[in-house]
Amino acid sequence: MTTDVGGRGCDAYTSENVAVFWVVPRDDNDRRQLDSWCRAVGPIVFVPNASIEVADAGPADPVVLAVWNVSLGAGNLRAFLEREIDLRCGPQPHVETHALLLLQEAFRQDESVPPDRPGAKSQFTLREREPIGERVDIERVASECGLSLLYIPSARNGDRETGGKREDLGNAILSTLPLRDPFAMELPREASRRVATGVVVDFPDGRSLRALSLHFDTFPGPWKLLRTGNSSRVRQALALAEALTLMEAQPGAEQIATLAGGDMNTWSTYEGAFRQLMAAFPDSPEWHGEPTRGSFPTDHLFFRKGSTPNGFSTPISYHPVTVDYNSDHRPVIAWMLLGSR
Amino acid sequence: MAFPRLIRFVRGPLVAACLTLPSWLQGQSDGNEWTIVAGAALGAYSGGILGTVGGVMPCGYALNPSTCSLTWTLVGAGIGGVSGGHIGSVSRERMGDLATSAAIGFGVGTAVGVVLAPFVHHYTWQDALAIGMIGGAIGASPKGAAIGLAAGLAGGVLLWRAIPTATSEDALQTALLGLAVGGISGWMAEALQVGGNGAVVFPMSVAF
Repeated sequence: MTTDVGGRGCDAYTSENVAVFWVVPRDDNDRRQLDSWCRAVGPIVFVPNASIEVADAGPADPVVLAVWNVSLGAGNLRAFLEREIDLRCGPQPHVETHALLLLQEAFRQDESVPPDRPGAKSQFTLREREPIGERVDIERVASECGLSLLYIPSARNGDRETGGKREDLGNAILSTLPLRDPFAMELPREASRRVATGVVVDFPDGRSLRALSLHFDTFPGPWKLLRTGNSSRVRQALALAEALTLMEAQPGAEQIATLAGGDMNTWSTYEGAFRQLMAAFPDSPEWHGEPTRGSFPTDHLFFRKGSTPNGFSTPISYHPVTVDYNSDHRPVIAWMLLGSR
Repeated sequence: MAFPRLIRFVRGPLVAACLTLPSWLQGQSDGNEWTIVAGAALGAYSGGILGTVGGVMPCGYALNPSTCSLTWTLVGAGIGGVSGGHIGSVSRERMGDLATSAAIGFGVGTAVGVVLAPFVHHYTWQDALAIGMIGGAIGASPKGAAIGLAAGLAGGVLLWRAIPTATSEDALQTALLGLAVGGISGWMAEALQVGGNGAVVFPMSVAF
């Protein structure tokens, strides 16, 4: 991996509208193909400040964490927020405690997603389950719930278009807390473009945490499978760990705790990819023992204190939610206690 | 890393196989150097691809799946190559049959790959070729591969149903392992069967 994005054929890497720190693969062939995927998506969305009212939350009160693949809007995010986090959206959004959500397969639907372009690659149109009620994109959820948002699209959702509005999809971070210093880790291309989305989260008492939403590939195509074996997720996990190390080695980089969570598409917790990330995040909570997508444990939360823990410790009460809220994944929840520094 | 340890483990048998190969050829009259090379190449290709396929799921558990997969590929290629070379030395006709069968398998596999293209995400022409290559590998050892796949699938489904913690992934893994082991075993069985009177003679001692 490298921080050098010079010569990349897509504006997202060097855009100053939202200044994002990128870590990308070194391989030229990967970069060429990833550029074609990047050219098909819309701009990055960054809403750094939340407007929601957070009642009764002291500066060192616990923060609820959630990891969820929302299945392109099929997952009823507003229902989840209301029932699991007691967060009410609407004209006067309100919540009792601070929250940080790491989401995958979030989608955005508007005119900013470009129409078909020569040389731009989009994935096949993904069809989600029939949503319950209206299918709402991530920008609207953030707006209606008064949440801060970072959304970095990975891929265009095929040729899907509704009333002139096209779709892209990717990882997102939603929070009741302010966000800053967005960063992105473009993973090695195994089957599609995957961008791990990250940001620094500022807590009310002045401490900060790095948060990362990730989504790994399921299987590479047969050609790559024959050439590299079943190493896709391990390569992406190792690239993620390397990218974080690169970030922390930058001059002036904050040596703070890092929280990472997402859909790894793992079939087992014995998979090399999961074990590699557990090694890279040694302060992670122990796996709760339940599958989160059908019979597979795909969704995980990782944590490392870093050289300046600042009182952050391993999240507790880590468990999947009983209800899937119409997604094909069950959300996973944990709590972050803010100990003394 | 597993690879250096595995090399030490297999180098003895592989060296022995290569050294004894000339003795296997003694008295065999039907093949020539071209059929031996062709047989070895076809066997190495088929065994290598089958080994790779068989290792796909187990290597997902490795911390270094690429090395794990390479190991499976080399073991399969080694066994297939030696077996194929022997077959090629003994019977040109049988070698021709296997090559034809492999070509049919390649054609069928490629056709399947092309048909799948509109339905599979992120598909390229290389993926269709890869499916063709897998088809060709299976086609070169069709009986062994079919028996192995059937046994593996049956065993895998039983495992899945009988053990509460087993998943459909375990069933698939067992089926693929069966395909690989069956196919590679098919090469060995073919090599032992063809000719019928080949005796293995070690021309020299081999240090392991």
